[in-house]
Amino acid sequence: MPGEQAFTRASFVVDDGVRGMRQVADNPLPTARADRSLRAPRSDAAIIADTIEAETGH
Amino acid sequence: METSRRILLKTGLVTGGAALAATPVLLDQRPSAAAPPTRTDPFTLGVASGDPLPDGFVIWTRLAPDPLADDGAGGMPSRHQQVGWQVATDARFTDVVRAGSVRTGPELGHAVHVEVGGLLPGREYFYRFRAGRHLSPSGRSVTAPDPRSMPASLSMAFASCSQFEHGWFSAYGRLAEERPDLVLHLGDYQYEYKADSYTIPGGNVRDHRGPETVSLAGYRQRLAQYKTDPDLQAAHAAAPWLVVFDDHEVDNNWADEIAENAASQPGFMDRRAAAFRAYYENMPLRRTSVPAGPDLQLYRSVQWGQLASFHMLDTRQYRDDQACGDGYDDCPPAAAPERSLPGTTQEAWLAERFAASTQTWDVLGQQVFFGRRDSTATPDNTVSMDPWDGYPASRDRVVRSWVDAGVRNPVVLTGDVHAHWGSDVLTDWTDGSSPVLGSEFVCSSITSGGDGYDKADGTHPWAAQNPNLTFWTNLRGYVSTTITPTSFTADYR
Repeated sequence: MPGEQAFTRASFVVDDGVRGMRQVADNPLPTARADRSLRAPRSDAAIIADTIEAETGH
Repeated sequence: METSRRILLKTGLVTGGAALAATPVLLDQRPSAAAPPTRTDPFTLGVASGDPLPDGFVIWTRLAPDPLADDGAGGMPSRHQQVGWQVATDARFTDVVRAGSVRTGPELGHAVHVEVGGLLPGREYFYRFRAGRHLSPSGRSVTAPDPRSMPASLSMAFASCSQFEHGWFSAYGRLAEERPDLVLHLGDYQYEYKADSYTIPGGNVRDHRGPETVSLAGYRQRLAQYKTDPDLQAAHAAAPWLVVFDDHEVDNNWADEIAENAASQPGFMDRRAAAFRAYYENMPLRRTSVPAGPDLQLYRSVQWGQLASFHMLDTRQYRDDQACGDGYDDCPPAAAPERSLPGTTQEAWLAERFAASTQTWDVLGQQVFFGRRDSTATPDNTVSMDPWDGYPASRDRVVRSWVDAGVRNPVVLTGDVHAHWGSDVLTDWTDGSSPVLGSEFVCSSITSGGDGYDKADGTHPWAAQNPNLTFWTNLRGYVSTTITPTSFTADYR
Protein backbone atom coordinates (compact mmCIF):
# COMPACT_ATOMS: atom_id res chain seq x y z
CA MET A 1 0.00 0.00 0.00
CA PRO A 2 1.17 3.58 -0.50
CA GLY A 3 2.97 4.78 2.59
CA GLU A 4 3.44 1.28 3.97
CA GLN A 5 6.12 1.32 6.64
CA ALA A 6 9.23 -0.84 6.54
CA PHE A 7 10.44 -3.11 9.30
CA THR A 8 13.41 -5.42 9.69
CA ARG A 9 12.15 -8.98 9.24
CA ALA A 10 15.54 -10.52 10.04
CA SER A 11 19.20 -9.54 10.30
CA PHE A 12 22.31 -11.58 9.60
CA VAL A 13 25.95 -10.76 10.23
CA VAL A 14 29.13 -12.01 8.59
CA ASP A 15 32.20 -11.30 10.69
CA ASP A 16 35.52 -10.41 9.11
CA GLY A 17 37.57 -13.51 8.43
CA VAL A 18 34.77 -15.85 9.46
CA ARG A 19 32.92 -17.93 6.87
CA GLY A 20 29.17 -18.12 7.27
CA MET A 21 26.39 -15.87 8.54
CA ARG A 22 24.81 -15.69 11.96
CA GLN A 23 21.31 -14.43 12.64
CA VAL A 24 21.09 -11.50 15.04
CA ALA A 25 17.45 -10.42 14.66
CA ASP A 26 14.22 -12.29 13.93
CA ASN A 27 10.90 -10.46 13.70
CA PRO A 28 8.21 -12.60 12.10
CA LEU A 29 5.23 -10.71 10.77
CA PRO A 30 2.57 -10.66 13.50
CA THR A 31 -0.14 -13.15 12.74
CA ALA A 32 -2.90 -10.57 12.89
CA ARG A 33 -1.14 -8.53 10.25
CA ALA A 34 -0.28 -11.54 8.16
CA ASP A 35 -3.92 -12.57 8.15
CA ARG A 36 -4.85 -9.28 6.50
CA SER A 37 -2.67 -10.15 3.57
CA LEU A 38 -4.37 -11.00 0.31
CA ARG A 39 -2.11 -14.06 0.35
CA ALA A 40 -2.16 -15.40 3.90
CA PRO A 41 0.44 -17.93 5.12
CA ARG A 42 0.39 -21.00 2.94
CA SER A 43 1.06 -24.72 3.11
CA ASP A 44 4.51 -26.02 2.15
CA ALA A 45 3.11 -27.27 -1.15
CA ALA A 46 1.59 -23.88 -1.89
CA ILE A 47 4.82 -22.10 -0.99
CA ILE A 48 6.76 -24.32 -3.39
CA ALA A 49 4.19 -23.75 -6.12
CA ASP A 50 4.38 -19.99 -5.56
CA THR A 51 8.18 -20.10 -5.69
CA ILE A 52 8.33 -22.01 -8.95
CA GLU A 53 5.61 -19.87 -10.52
CA ALA A 54 7.40 -16.65 -9.56
CA GLU A 55 10.69 -17.86 -11.01
CA THR A 56 9.58 -19.60 -14.17
CA GLY A 57 6.34 -17.90 -15.18
CA HIS A 58 8.05 -14.56 -15.48
CA MET B 1 24.50 31.05 -13.00
CA GLU B 2 27.25 33.66 -13.08
CA THR B 3 29.09 32.05 -10.18
CA SER B 4 28.79 28.67 -11.83
CA ARG B 5 30.03 30.08 -15.10
CA ARG B 6 33.10 31.55 -13.46
CA ILE B 7 33.85 28.24 -11.77
CA LEU B 8 33.48 26.47 -15.09
CA LEU B 9 35.93 28.79 -16.78
CA LYS B 10 38.34 28.84 -13.86
CA THR B 11 38.59 25.11 -13.23
CA GLY B 12 38.26 23.74 -16.70
CA LEU B 13 37.26 20.46 -15.12
CA VAL B 14 33.87 20.12 -16.66
CA THR B 15 33.24 17.05 -18.73
CA GLY B 16 30.49 16.89 -21.23
CA GLY B 17 27.67 14.40 -21.63
CA ALA B 18 28.28 11.13 -23.36
CA ALA B 19 27.18 10.74 -26.92
CA LEU B 20 25.68 7.64 -28.39
CA ALA B 21 26.95 6.41 -31.69
CA ALA B 22 25.94 8.88 -34.33
CA THR B 23 22.46 8.19 -35.58
CA PRO B 24 20.84 10.08 -38.44
CA VAL B 25 17.95 12.15 -37.17
CA LEU B 26 15.14 12.22 -39.67
CA LEU B 27 13.27 15.43 -40.24
CA ASP B 28 10.72 15.61 -37.46
CA GLN B 29 7.18 15.95 -38.82
CA ARG B 30 5.48 15.90 -35.45
CA PRO B 31 3.56 18.99 -34.31
CA SER B 32 5.83 19.11 -31.27
CA ALA B 33 8.81 19.76 -33.52
CA ALA B 34 8.02 23.44 -33.66
CA ALA B 35 7.10 23.84 -30.01
CA PRO B 36 9.39 25.66 -27.60
CA PRO B 37 11.36 22.94 -25.81
CA THR B 38 10.85 24.12 -22.27
CA ARG B 39 7.36 25.59 -22.11
CA THR B 40 6.37 22.92 -19.59
CA ASP B 41 8.52 21.29 -16.91
CA PRO B 42 10.84 18.81 -18.64
CA PHE B 43 12.10 17.24 -15.39
CA THR B 44 9.23 14.80 -14.90
CA LEU B 45 11.57 11.81 -14.65
CA GLY B 46 13.63 13.11 -11.75
CA VAL B 47 17.39 12.96 -11.40
CA ALA B 48 19.92 10.26 -10.58
CA SER B 49 23.59 9.65 -9.94
CA GLY B 50 25.76 6.59 -10.19
CA ASP B 51 29.10 4.81 -10.54
CA PRO B 52 30.97 6.85 -7.92
CA LEU B 53 34.74 7.22 -8.06
CA PRO B 54 36.93 8.98 -5.49
CA ASP B 55 36.81 12.18 -7.55
CA GLY B 56 33.27 12.15 -8.87
CA PHE B 57 30.20 10.36 -10.18
CA VAL B 58 27.75 10.40 -13.06
CA ILE B 59 24.75 12.69 -12.79
CA TRP B 60 21.73 12.00 -14.97
CA THR B 61 18.43 13.39 -16.06
CA ARG B 62 16.24 13.12 -19.15
CA LEU B 63 14.01 15.83 -20.54
CA ALA B 64 10.42 14.64 -20.92
CA PRO B 65 7.64 17.23 -20.54
CA ASP B 66 5.17 14.57 -21.76
CA PRO B 67 6.78 11.42 -20.34
CA LEU B 68 4.16 8.94 -21.57
CA ALA B 69 4.10 10.09 -25.18
CA ASP B 70 3.56 7.06 -27.40
CA ASP B 71 6.50 7.90 -29.64
CA GLY B 72 8.87 7.55 -26.70
CA ALA B 73 10.23 11.05 -27.21
CA GLY B 74 8.80 12.30 -23.95
CA GLY B 75 7.15 15.26 -25.63
CA MET B 76 10.48 16.76 -26.67
CA PRO B 77 10.92 18.28 -30.10
CA SER B 78 13.65 17.01 -32.38
CA ARG B 79 15.87 20.01 -31.78
CA HIS B 80 18.86 19.97 -29.46
CA GLN B 81 18.89 21.72 -26.13
CA GLN B 82 21.48 22.97 -23.67
CA VAL B 83 21.07 21.74 -20.12
CA GLY B 84 22.95 23.36 -17.27
CA TRP B 85 24.12 21.48 -14.22
CA GLN B 86 25.56 22.25 -10.81
CA VAL B 87 27.23 20.26 -8.05
CA ALA B 88 27.38 21.79 -4.58
CA THR B 89 28.55 20.80 -1.15
CA ASP B 90 25.23 21.80 0.41
CA ALA B 91 21.58 21.08 -0.33
CA ARG B 92 20.82 24.80 -0.75
CA PHE B 93 23.50 25.21 -3.43
CA THR B 94 25.23 28.08 -1.68
CA ASP B 95 28.61 26.42 -2.31
CA VAL B 96 28.64 25.31 -5.95
CA VAL B 97 31.93 23.57 -6.70
CA ARG B 98 31.38 22.32 -10.23
CA ALA B 99 29.02 23.45 -12.96
CA GLY B 100 28.62 23.33 -16.69
CA SER B 101 26.29 22.93 -19.61
CA VAL B 102 25.80 20.02 -21.98
CA ARG B 103 23.91 19.55 -25.21
CA THR B 104 21.34 16.83 -25.61
CA GLY B 105 18.96 15.89 -28.35
CA PRO B 106 16.70 13.25 -29.85
CA GLU B 107 19.56 10.90 -30.69
CA LEU B 108 20.12 10.66 -26.91
CA GLY B 109 16.43 10.46 -26.03
CA HIS B 110 17.10 13.91 -24.59
CA ALA B 111 19.03 12.22 -21.79
CA VAL B 112 21.86 13.97 -19.99
CA HIS B 113 24.85 12.11 -18.57
CA VAL B 114 27.60 14.19 -17.00
CA GLU B 115 30.71 12.51 -15.61
CA VAL B 116 31.57 14.97 -12.88
CA GLY B 117 35.22 15.00 -11.81
CA GLY B 118 37.47 17.04 -9.59
CA LEU B 119 35.57 16.34 -6.37
CA LEU B 120 36.96 15.26 -3.03
CA PRO B 121 36.84 11.60 -1.99
CA GLY B 122 34.42 10.31 0.58
CA ARG B 123 32.20 13.41 0.51
CA GLU B 124 28.50 14.12 0.18
CA TYR B 125 27.41 16.39 -2.68
CA PHE B 126 24.19 17.71 -4.17
CA TYR B 127 23.38 18.27 -7.83
CA ARG B 128 20.66 19.69 -10.06
CA PHE B 129 19.96 20.68 -13.66
CA ARG B 130 18.44 23.63 -15.46
CA ALA B 131 16.67 23.69 -18.84
CA GLY B 132 15.46 27.09 -19.88
CA ARG B 133 13.59 28.52 -16.93
CA HIS B 134 12.99 25.11 -15.36
CA LEU B 135 15.05 23.83 -12.46
CA SER B 136 15.16 20.11 -11.72
CA PRO B 137 14.71 18.53 -8.31
CA SER B 138 18.05 18.19 -6.55
CA GLY B 139 19.76 14.90 -5.85
CA ARG B 140 22.26 13.74 -3.26
CA SER B 141 25.36 11.80 -4.21
CA VAL B 142 28.53 10.56 -2.58
CA THR B 143 32.07 10.13 -3.88
CA ALA B 144 33.92 6.91 -3.16
CA PRO B 145 36.55 7.14 -0.41
CA ASP B 146 40.24 7.59 -1.08
CA PRO B 147 41.49 4.25 -2.44
CA ARG B 148 44.08 3.98 0.36
CA SER B 149 41.67 4.76 3.19
CA MET B 150 39.69 2.41 5.40
CA PRO B 151 36.22 3.90 5.93
CA ALA B 152 34.69 3.25 9.32
CA SER B 153 31.38 2.25 7.78
CA LEU B 154 29.33 2.12 4.59
CA SER B 155 25.54 2.14 4.43
CA MET B 156 24.50 0.28 1.28
CA ALA B 157 21.08 -0.98 0.21
CA PHE B 158 20.25 -3.33 -2.64
CA ALA B 159 17.01 -4.00 -4.48
CA SER B 160 15.53 -5.64 -7.56
CA CYS B 161 12.33 -6.54 -9.37
CA SER B 162 9.90 -3.62 -9.48
CA GLN B 163 6.96 -4.60 -11.67
CA PHE B 164 5.05 -1.31 -12.01
CA GLU B 165 1.65 -2.98 -12.29
CA HIS B 166 2.06 -5.19 -9.22
CA GLY B 167 2.15 -2.53 -6.55
CA TRP B 168 3.17 0.88 -5.34
CA PHE B 169 6.88 1.55 -5.04
CA SER B 170 6.65 2.20 -1.28
CA ALA B 171 9.74 0.07 -0.67
CA TYR B 172 11.77 2.43 -2.87
CA GLY B 173 10.38 5.26 -0.75
CA ARG B 174 11.47 3.61 2.49
CA LEU B 175 14.89 2.87 1.02
CA ALA B 176 15.22 6.57 0.13
CA GLU B 177 14.38 7.60 3.69
CA GLU B 178 17.37 5.62 4.96
CA ARG B 179 19.68 7.84 2.88
CA PRO B 180 22.23 5.10 2.20
CA ASP B 181 25.57 6.08 0.72
CA LEU B 182 25.23 3.56 -2.09
CA VAL B 183 22.42 1.60 -3.75
CA LEU B 184 22.89 -1.52 -5.86
CA HIS B 185 20.07 -2.33 -8.27
CA LEU B 186 20.36 -5.95 -9.37
CA GLY B 187 17.94 -5.96 -12.27
CA ASP B 188 14.34 -6.25 -13.41
CA TYR B 189 14.09 -2.51 -12.94
CA GLN B 190 11.30 -2.55 -15.51
CA TYR B 191 9.16 -5.19 -17.18
CA GLU B 192 8.47 -5.56 -20.86
CA TYR B 193 4.90 -6.85 -20.77
CA LYS B 194 1.82 -5.12 -22.11
CA ALA B 195 -0.84 -4.21 -19.57
CA ASP B 196 -2.41 -7.06 -17.64
CA SER B 197 -0.44 -9.86 -19.25
CA TYR B 198 1.41 -10.49 -15.95
CA THR B 199 -1.18 -10.31 -13.20
CA ILE B 200 -1.19 -10.94 -9.47
CA PRO B 201 -3.86 -12.42 -7.19
CA GLY B 202 -6.40 -9.70 -6.52
CA GLY B 203 -5.52 -7.88 -9.73
CA ASN B 204 -2.83 -5.40 -10.71
CA VAL B 205 -2.95 -1.99 -9.06
CA ARG B 206 -1.99 0.00 -12.18
CA ASP B 207 -1.33 -0.64 -15.86
CA HIS B 208 1.64 -0.51 -18.14
CA ARG B 209 1.30 1.99 -20.97
CA GLY B 210 1.69 0.68 -24.49
CA PRO B 211 2.22 -2.77 -26.00
CA GLU B 212 4.98 -5.22 -25.02
CA THR B 213 8.23 -3.36 -25.46
CA VAL B 214 10.13 -4.37 -28.58
CA SER B 215 11.12 -1.02 -30.13
CA LEU B 216 13.24 1.91 -29.01
CA ALA B 217 10.11 4.05 -28.68
CA GLY B 218 8.45 1.37 -26.58
CA TYR B 219 11.38 0.90 -24.19
CA ARG B 220 11.79 4.67 -23.85
CA GLN B 221 8.12 5.09 -23.04
CA ARG B 222 8.12 2.21 -20.54
CA LEU B 223 11.20 3.41 -18.69
CA ALA B 224 9.71 6.89 -18.59
CA GLN B 225 6.51 5.51 -17.10
CA TYR B 226 8.46 3.83 -14.31
CA LYS B 227 10.50 6.93 -13.69
CA THR B 228 7.42 9.07 -13.15
CA ASP B 229 6.88 7.20 -9.87
CA PRO B 230 7.72 9.56 -6.97
CA ASP B 231 9.11 6.80 -4.72
CA LEU B 232 11.49 5.60 -7.43
CA GLN B 233 12.54 9.20 -8.06
CA ALA B 234 13.19 9.65 -4.33
CA ALA B 235 15.36 6.52 -4.24
CA HIS B 236 17.43 7.72 -7.19
CA ALA B 237 17.79 11.19 -5.68
CA ALA B 238 18.93 9.79 -2.30
CA ALA B 239 22.20 8.12 -3.28
CA PRO B 240 24.44 7.02 -6.15
CA TRP B 241 23.37 3.73 -7.74
CA LEU B 242 25.30 0.87 -9.30
CA VAL B 243 22.89 -0.66 -11.79
CA VAL B 244 22.90 -3.91 -13.73
CA PHE B 245 20.12 -5.29 -15.87
CA ASP B 246 18.65 -8.77 -15.67
CA ASP B 247 16.18 -10.22 -18.19
CA HIS B 248 13.07 -8.05 -18.07
CA GLU B 249 14.86 -4.94 -19.21
CA VAL B 250 14.89 -6.78 -22.56
CA ASP B 251 12.79 -9.97 -22.63
CA ASN B 252 11.93 -12.68 -20.11
CA ASN B 253 14.82 -15.14 -19.64
CA TRP B 254 16.74 -14.06 -22.75
CA ALA B 255 20.19 -15.59 -23.11
CA ASP B 256 22.84 -13.83 -25.19
CA GLU B 257 21.40 -13.76 -28.71
CA ILE B 258 18.42 -15.97 -27.89
CA ALA B 259 14.99 -14.62 -27.03
CA GLU B 260 12.61 -16.35 -24.64
CA ASN B 261 10.54 -17.47 -27.62
CA ALA B 262 13.29 -17.62 -30.19
CA ALA B 263 11.20 -19.03 -33.03
CA SER B 264 8.80 -16.09 -32.92
CA GLN B 265 11.48 -13.41 -32.59
CA PRO B 266 13.85 -13.58 -35.57
CA GLY B 267 14.83 -9.95 -35.01
CA PHE B 268 15.82 -10.34 -31.40
CA MET B 269 19.17 -8.57 -31.76
CA ASP B 270 17.36 -5.47 -33.02
CA ARG B 271 15.15 -5.68 -29.96
CA ARG B 272 18.18 -6.11 -27.71
CA ALA B 273 19.82 -3.07 -29.28
CA ALA B 274 16.70 -0.97 -28.70
CA ALA B 275 16.43 -2.12 -25.11
CA PHE B 276 20.11 -1.44 -24.39
CA ARG B 277 19.97 2.00 -25.91
CA ALA B 278 16.91 2.96 -23.85
CA TYR B 279 18.50 1.42 -20.75
CA TYR B 280 21.65 3.49 -21.14
CA GLU B 281 19.62 6.61 -21.82
CA ASN B 282 17.67 6.14 -18.59
CA MET B 283 20.42 5.06 -16.19
CA PRO B 284 23.32 6.92 -14.51
CA LEU B 285 25.99 4.94 -16.36
CA ARG B 286 29.41 6.08 -17.54
CA ARG B 287 30.25 6.47 -21.22
CA THR B 288 32.02 3.10 -21.07
CA SER B 289 28.49 1.67 -21.11
CA VAL B 290 27.29 3.52 -24.19
CA PRO B 291 25.87 0.67 -26.27
CA ALA B 292 27.26 -0.25 -29.66
CA GLY B 293 24.22 -1.71 -31.37
CA PRO B 294 23.24 -4.87 -29.48
CA ASP B 295 26.30 -4.77 -27.19
CA LEU B 296 26.62 -2.93 -23.89
CA GLN B 297 29.59 -3.13 -21.51
CA LEU B 298 27.91 -3.55 -18.14
CA TYR B 299 30.23 -5.54 -15.88
CA ARG B 300 32.63 -3.43 -13.87
CA SER B 301 34.15 -3.03 -10.41
CA VAL B 302 33.80 -0.10 -8.03
CA GLN B 303 36.11 0.25 -5.02
CA TRP B 304 35.06 1.74 -1.72
CA GLY B 305 38.46 2.55 -0.27
CA GLN B 306 40.03 -0.47 1.34
CA LEU B 307 36.67 -1.49 2.76
CA ALA B 308 34.94 -3.13 -0.18
CA SER B 309 35.06 -3.94 -3.87
CA PHE B 310 31.76 -4.20 -5.69
CA HIS B 311 31.99 -6.46 -8.73
CA MET B 312 28.87 -5.80 -10.78
CA LEU B 313 28.18 -8.72 -13.11
CA ASP B 314 26.32 -9.22 -16.38
CA THR B 315 24.72 -12.67 -16.30
CA ARG B 316 22.59 -12.28 -19.46
CA GLN B 317 24.61 -10.97 -22.34
CA TYR B 318 27.25 -13.70 -22.63
CA ARG B 319 25.58 -16.79 -21.19
CA ASP B 320 25.02 -20.12 -22.83
CA ASP B 321 21.37 -20.87 -23.46
CA GLN B 322 19.40 -22.37 -20.61
CA ALA B 323 19.69 -26.16 -20.77
CA CYS B 324 16.81 -28.57 -21.27
CA GLY B 325 14.44 -25.88 -22.43
CA ASP B 326 14.67 -23.77 -19.25
CA GLY B 327 12.35 -24.17 -16.24
CA TYR B 328 12.99 -26.59 -13.36
CA ASP B 329 14.52 -29.86 -14.51
CA ASP B 330 16.85 -32.71 -13.61
CA CYS B 331 19.19 -31.99 -16.51
CA PRO B 332 22.67 -33.57 -16.61
CA PRO B 333 23.70 -31.62 -19.77
CA ALA B 334 23.51 -28.43 -17.69
CA ALA B 335 26.67 -29.57 -15.89
CA ALA B 336 28.81 -29.61 -19.04
CA PRO B 337 32.11 -27.98 -18.08
CA GLU B 338 32.20 -25.68 -21.10
CA ARG B 339 28.92 -24.00 -20.18
CA SER B 340 29.18 -20.56 -18.61
CA LEU B 341 26.76 -18.08 -17.10
CA PRO B 342 28.86 -14.90 -17.24
CA GLY B 343 30.86 -16.11 -20.24
CA THR B 344 34.50 -17.12 -20.22
CA THR B 345 35.83 -13.59 -20.72
CA GLN B 346 33.86 -12.23 -17.77
CA GLU B 347 34.82 -15.23 -15.66
CA ALA B 348 38.49 -14.47 -16.35
CA TRP B 349 37.96 -10.76 -15.62
CA LEU B 350 36.34 -11.63 -12.29
CA ALA B 351 39.20 -13.95 -11.35
CA GLU B 352 41.61 -11.09 -12.09
CA ARG B 353 39.58 -8.74 -9.91
CA PHE B 354 39.68 -11.26 -7.05
CA ALA B 355 43.43 -11.67 -7.46
CA ALA B 356 44.00 -7.92 -7.46
CA SER B 357 41.68 -7.14 -4.55
CA THR B 358 43.09 -5.70 -1.35
CA GLN B 359 39.71 -4.84 0.12
CA THR B 360 38.22 -6.39 3.25
CA TRP B 361 34.97 -7.33 1.49
CA ASP B 362 34.61 -8.55 -2.10
CA VAL B 363 30.97 -8.17 -3.03
CA LEU B 364 29.38 -9.65 -6.15
CA GLY B 365 26.42 -7.54 -7.27
CA GLN B 366 24.59 -9.88 -9.62
CA GLN B 367 21.22 -11.04 -10.75
CA VAL B 368 20.39 -14.73 -10.28
CA PHE B 369 20.46 -17.20 -7.39
CA PHE B 370 24.00 -18.40 -6.73
CA GLY B 371 23.42 -21.21 -4.24
CA ARG B 372 21.96 -24.60 -4.96
CA ARG B 373 18.23 -25.13 -4.54
CA ASP B 374 17.13 -28.67 -5.27
CA SER B 375 13.36 -28.47 -5.56
CA THR B 376 12.64 -32.09 -4.63
CA ALA B 377 13.57 -34.36 -1.74
CA THR B 378 14.28 -37.21 -4.14
CA PRO B 379 17.85 -38.24 -5.09
CA ASP B 380 17.72 -36.42 -8.42
CA ASN B 381 18.82 -32.82 -8.92
CA THR B 382 15.76 -30.89 -10.06
CA VAL B 383 16.88 -27.28 -10.12
CA SER B 384 16.11 -24.11 -12.01
CA MET B 385 17.92 -23.87 -15.35
CA ASP B 386 18.07 -20.06 -15.44
CA PRO B 387 20.29 -19.22 -12.43
CA TRP B 388 23.71 -20.61 -11.46
CA ASP B 389 22.12 -24.01 -10.71
CA GLY B 390 21.81 -24.37 -14.48
CA TYR B 391 25.54 -23.65 -14.89
CA PRO B 392 27.19 -25.53 -11.99
CA ALA B 393 30.65 -25.80 -13.61
CA SER B 394 30.71 -22.06 -14.12
CA ARG B 395 29.68 -21.54 -10.48
CA ASP B 396 32.45 -23.86 -9.34
CA ARG B 397 35.01 -21.87 -11.34
CA VAL B 398 33.89 -18.58 -9.79
CA VAL B 399 34.08 -20.01 -6.26
CA ARG B 400 37.45 -21.60 -7.02
CA SER B 401 38.76 -18.27 -8.29
CA TRP B 402 37.94 -16.46 -5.04
CA VAL B 403 39.33 -19.33 -2.98
CA ASP B 404 42.54 -19.46 -5.04
CA ALA B 405 42.91 -15.67 -4.82
CA GLY B 406 42.61 -15.79 -1.05
CA VAL B 407 39.68 -13.38 -1.02
CA ARG B 408 39.25 -12.37 2.59
CA ASN B 409 35.44 -12.09 2.72
CA PRO B 410 33.39 -13.05 -0.36
CA VAL B 411 29.74 -11.95 -0.30
CA VAL B 412 27.24 -12.57 -3.11
CA LEU B 413 24.24 -10.27 -3.54
CA THR B 414 21.31 -11.46 -5.65
CA GLY B 415 17.90 -10.36 -6.93
CA ASP B 416 15.48 -11.99 -9.40
CA VAL B 417 13.45 -14.43 -7.29
CA HIS B 418 10.87 -12.14 -5.62
CA ALA B 419 11.63 -13.31 -2.07
CA HIS B 420 14.22 -12.70 0.62
CA TRP B 421 16.64 -15.60 0.98
CA GLY B 422 19.89 -16.30 2.79
CA SER B 423 22.34 -18.95 1.66
CA ASP B 424 25.78 -20.18 2.60
CA VAL B 425 28.16 -21.06 -0.22
CA LEU B 426 29.15 -24.60 0.78
CA THR B 427 32.07 -26.75 -0.31
CA ASP B 428 29.53 -29.55 -0.76
CA TRP B 429 26.02 -28.28 -1.39
CA THR B 430 24.52 -31.49 -0.04
CA ASP B 431 26.50 -31.51 3.22
CA GLY B 432 25.61 -28.86 5.76
CA SER B 433 28.72 -29.69 7.78
CA SER B 434 31.08 -29.00 4.87
CA PRO B 435 33.20 -25.85 5.03
CA VAL B 436 31.49 -22.58 4.18
CA LEU B 437 33.21 -20.64 1.38
CA GLY B 438 31.09 -17.48 1.31
CA SER B 439 27.70 -15.93 2.00
CA GLU B 440 24.80 -15.02 -0.26
CA PHE B 441 22.11 -12.46 0.54
CA VAL B 442 19.11 -12.38 -1.80
CA CYS B 443 16.73 -9.43 -1.84
CA SER B 444 13.02 -9.76 -2.39
CA SER B 445 11.17 -7.76 -5.01
CA ILE B 446 10.10 -4.16 -4.61
CA THR B 447 6.67 -5.13 -5.97
CA SER B 448 6.91 -8.12 -8.34
CA GLY B 449 4.52 -10.88 -7.36
CA GLY B 450 2.28 -8.50 -5.44
CA ASP B 451 1.32 -8.77 -1.82
CA GLY B 452 3.38 -11.41 -0.07
CA TYR B 453 3.30 -13.42 3.12
CA ASP B 454 5.59 -14.50 5.92
CA LYS B 455 6.41 -17.79 7.61
CA ALA B 456 7.19 -17.52 11.29
CA ASP B 457 10.23 -19.80 11.31
CA GLY B 458 11.80 -18.05 8.28
CA THR B 459 12.51 -21.28 6.43
CA HIS B 460 11.51 -22.34 2.96
CA PRO B 461 10.38 -25.95 2.55
CA TRP B 462 13.38 -26.57 0.30
CA ALA B 463 15.72 -25.98 3.27
CA ALA B 464 15.03 -29.61 4.23
CA GLN B 465 17.15 -30.87 1.31
CA ASN B 466 19.34 -27.79 0.80
CA PRO B 467 21.46 -27.24 3.92
CA ASN B 468 22.88 -24.02 2.48
CA LEU B 469 19.53 -22.21 2.78
CA THR B 470 19.49 -20.13 5.97
CA PHE B 471 16.48 -17.83 5.60
CA TRP B 472 13.41 -17.10 3.50
CA THR B 473 10.37 -14.85 3.56
CA ASN B 474 7.95 -13.94 0.81
CA LEU B 475 7.47 -10.31 1.84
CA ARG B 476 8.25 -7.45 -0.51
CA GLY B 477 11.15 -5.12 0.22
CA TYR B 478 14.89 -4.60 -0.06
CA VAL B 479 18.02 -5.34 1.96
CA SER B 480 19.82 -2.66 3.92
CA THR B 481 23.44 -3.38 4.77
CA THR B 482 26.04 -1.88 7.07
CA ILE B 483 29.60 -2.71 6.09
CA THR B 484 32.48 -2.06 8.48
CA PRO B 485 36.06 -3.35 8.66
CA THR B 486 34.89 -6.01 11.12
CA SER B 487 31.44 -7.05 9.94
CA PHE B 488 28.88 -7.15 7.12
CA THR B 489 25.31 -6.79 8.45
CA ALA B 490 22.28 -7.44 6.24
CA ASP B 491 18.85 -6.27 7.39
CA TYR B 492 16.01 -7.81 5.40
CA ARG B 493 13.55 -4.90 5.17
